[in-house]
Parts: sequence; structure tokens; C-alpha cells
Amino acid sequence: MTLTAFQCAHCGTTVFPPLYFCPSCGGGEWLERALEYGTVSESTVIRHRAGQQAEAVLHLATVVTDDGPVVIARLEQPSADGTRVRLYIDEAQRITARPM
Amino acid sequence: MQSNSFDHVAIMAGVEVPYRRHPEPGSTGDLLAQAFGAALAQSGFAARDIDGLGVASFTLSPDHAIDLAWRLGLSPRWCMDDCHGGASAINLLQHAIRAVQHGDANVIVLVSGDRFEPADFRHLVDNYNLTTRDWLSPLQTGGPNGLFAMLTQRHAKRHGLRREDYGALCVAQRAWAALNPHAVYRARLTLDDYLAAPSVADPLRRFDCVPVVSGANAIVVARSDLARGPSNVRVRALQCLYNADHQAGNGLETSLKRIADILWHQAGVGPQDIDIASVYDDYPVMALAQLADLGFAPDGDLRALLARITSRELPVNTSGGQLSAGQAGAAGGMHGLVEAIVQLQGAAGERQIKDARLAVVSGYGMVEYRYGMCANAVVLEKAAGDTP
Repeated sequence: MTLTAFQCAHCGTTVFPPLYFCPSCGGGEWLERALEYGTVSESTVIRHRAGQQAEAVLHLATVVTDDGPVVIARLEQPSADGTRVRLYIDEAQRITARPM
Repeated sequence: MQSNSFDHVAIMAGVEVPYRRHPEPGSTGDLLAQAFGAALAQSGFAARDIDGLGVASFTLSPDHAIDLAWRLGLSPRWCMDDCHGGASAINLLQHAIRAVQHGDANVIVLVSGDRFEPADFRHLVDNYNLTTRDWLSPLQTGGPNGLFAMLTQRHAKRHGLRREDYGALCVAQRAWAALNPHAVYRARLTLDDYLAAPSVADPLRRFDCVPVVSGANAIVVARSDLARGPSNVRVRALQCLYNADHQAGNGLETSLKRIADILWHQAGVGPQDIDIASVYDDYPVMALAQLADLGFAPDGDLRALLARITSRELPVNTSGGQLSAGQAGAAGGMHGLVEAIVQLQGAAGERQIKDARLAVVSGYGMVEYRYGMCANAVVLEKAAGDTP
């Protein structure tokens, strides 16, 4: 599934997650925009999580999308900062980044 | 009237129900009630004098402030729920001051606290808000550690800091905690211990992450002419700013950066005059960010700031901070405030800062998506006429 951001119909500001009103101009009409590509700015390996024992580690990334919004995504595989990724939402509703 | 005046109102108590890593049997309400009772005892007020109640708690549900008021036997004229996490105490204080100044209430008790079983904490971090539930919980991040790990990477890169630098703050706070009988973690921590601790989320290791505890805090805010105790604290300045960048930035600066000038102007003093600072330390990176935003590193040199902290030239988080004393949920925002009050009362025991007269306290929190969206700060002063 495609990850969708929202672009203000009035001033063009693109946001994710969605907002009711635009923080830049106050506009309340939004156009949907697919967030498909981005770049890993940082990533981490979460080795210990509250309430979970001995689970597989989670590779988590901050991805700056080409359209502007910054998203938090699961990395399909460990990737260096600067790696180009394609974003999608998997069947478990997880924002996922696939290195290109 | 002057809208920026903080006259005719004082803080008359600051208490903490000892934090516990593993809570005793009971409820969140029990802890808040203990804090309420301790605040009354310290302030000299009786329950019948209390006509205002403010509450911050994540786990009081399904009760709210008014239910707690009923259980406490109160008939408040002013009653307020707050849900600003690490910014809740100063947010509550902002409202309480104005309520007292305008006669809506005369004596207000503000309480905050939480009691966590492991399942409670997991529920909280997975359902922190809709954004978290929709976009972070499916990733099974298990809370904000991963977000602040990446924020720490950005911060380290920008300021040229190493793990040892963040560790220096944790070690310094643990040394303060050794002097605080109520701190949950008091054992000596060396930089080697810090560096060798198990990884949580790179680069964060165990001692970078606040230990979750159960506990509560309370303060009393009242008309200054009603004071019963000898030792009061007055507010010189208070500023809040939320959503300054709408989560579109990098999280390295809190909204304190935008309110620092007006805060110090309102207070009529500057960072150089401060005797003690309490900043919200959910992670060492955020403690450093808040101190920098407040103007404690005017030249941007965070290593020089750290040197002043470790030498105690600038006493920061003298209770040990949440990193050593523990984070009792919504009480986390009041923990540093209470420590500053206790220091200004001259009641901090072994860790007392001599002649402490001015304190700054900051709150930070409520991670909407990638970092905290709330920050606020208050400048406190030992009330004139008090003897140390």
C-alpha cells in the first residue's frame, strides 16, 4: 500500500501525519500525495523493547521523503545514512523502507 | 492589571512520594493521595483550606481530577486535568498562579504521578496518542527510545559530541543521586560502567534511558498572605510554548529556544544568575538541548557546559534527575520542580546548594510523532525574608 501525505491546496505545504488545518497558512483543504521515495537520515537498531522478551531486533530509520515530510519507518535491512529508499505500507500497517 | 505579574502568589510546598521500581500494592490514586497528604503537612494547610486541585496522571483512568477531589474529600472551586506529560507541572502551575491571582481559588494543590505494572507501561507507549497508535505502534517500537536514539545521532553529529560526553551528564547526575536518599538508583556509576552497559537502541545504552518507576509529587500554590510555613518560593517568570515547529523540524531544539529571551526578560535575571537548574531529562540529549536553548551555552560549546555541570559550578538535576531518581510517568514533569523548591527551601540535606536563591526549571515532552511538542520553563526565587 502506498504511504499518503497531504498537500495544502492553498499554499502547497506537505504534511505527514495528516492535520486538520495547515500550520503555514491555515488552509483546510488537502490534496493526497504519494510518499514513495526518500533518503535515510539516521537509523538505529532497537534491541530491547518494553514488554517484549527475546524478540528479533528492529531496524528503525528516519527517512526524509522527496516531498518534504520526515517519516519513521522500519528498514527491511540495515542501511547506511544516505541510502535511497522506496517507502510503502506493508500488510501489518507498518511504514517500511526498502533500500533501492 | 499587569498580565505578566507573579505577585501575591507563592509556592508553599514541594513533596515527593518515594519512587519505587516495583510498586507496592495499590493504585495510582493511592500514590496521588499520599502526595496530597504530604503537601498539606509541609504547607501547614488543612484539607478544608484547599479550594483548588490540579492533576496530571496517565494511569488514573477511568478517574479524573474531579474523582480524585471527591476521594480526597475536597469541594474545589477550581479543578483541572492536565495531560502535557513532562510539561504538565509547569503547565498546571501557569494556570494555578492565575487562578489564585484572580480569586478563583486561594489554595491549590497540584499533584502528579503514576503507578505502572509492566503491562500498564506497554499500553501507555502503544496508545500515547492517535499518531503513535496509527504509525509507530505497528512498527513495535516499544516506546520512544528508538526516536531519541536517532535524535541523539543528529545531535552528536551537529555538536561533535561522543558517547562519553552524554555519559558525563549521566555520571554527574548519578553522583547527585548518591546524596538523595529518595533516588531509586544511587550506586556509583563510572564512565566505564556507562559505556559498557547493554545497548537499548544505538547509540543509547541502559543509562541513557530513564528507568520507569511508580511514584507521585505534589506542590501547593496559594495566596502569599495565607502562608503558614516559614519557607516559600515565588515565581519570577513562566513561559510555555507548544508545537513551535509542528513536528517538521529535527527535534534538536525545543521550543524553549523561542521563549528563552522573554523568560529571562520577565524574570529580570539571566542564566548566569541561576543557582540551580532542573531540566527534563528523559534522555541526556534532551537535558543538554534544554540547557542550550535556555542560554546556558551561549557560545554553543556544549563540552564547556558539560564541564560546568560535572564540576558542579552549574548544579543541574541535583536530585539525580529522572535518569537516576526514576521517571514516575506524569510525575516526571514535577520531579525537577519539586527538587528546585526543596533546594530553595534549604531542605535538600546532603545535596543542598549553599545559599540557593534562584532556580530555573524546564518541562519537555509529549512526543507527537518524532520528538516532544511541548516545552515550558519557570524561574523561581526563594521568597524574600526567608532565612536559609
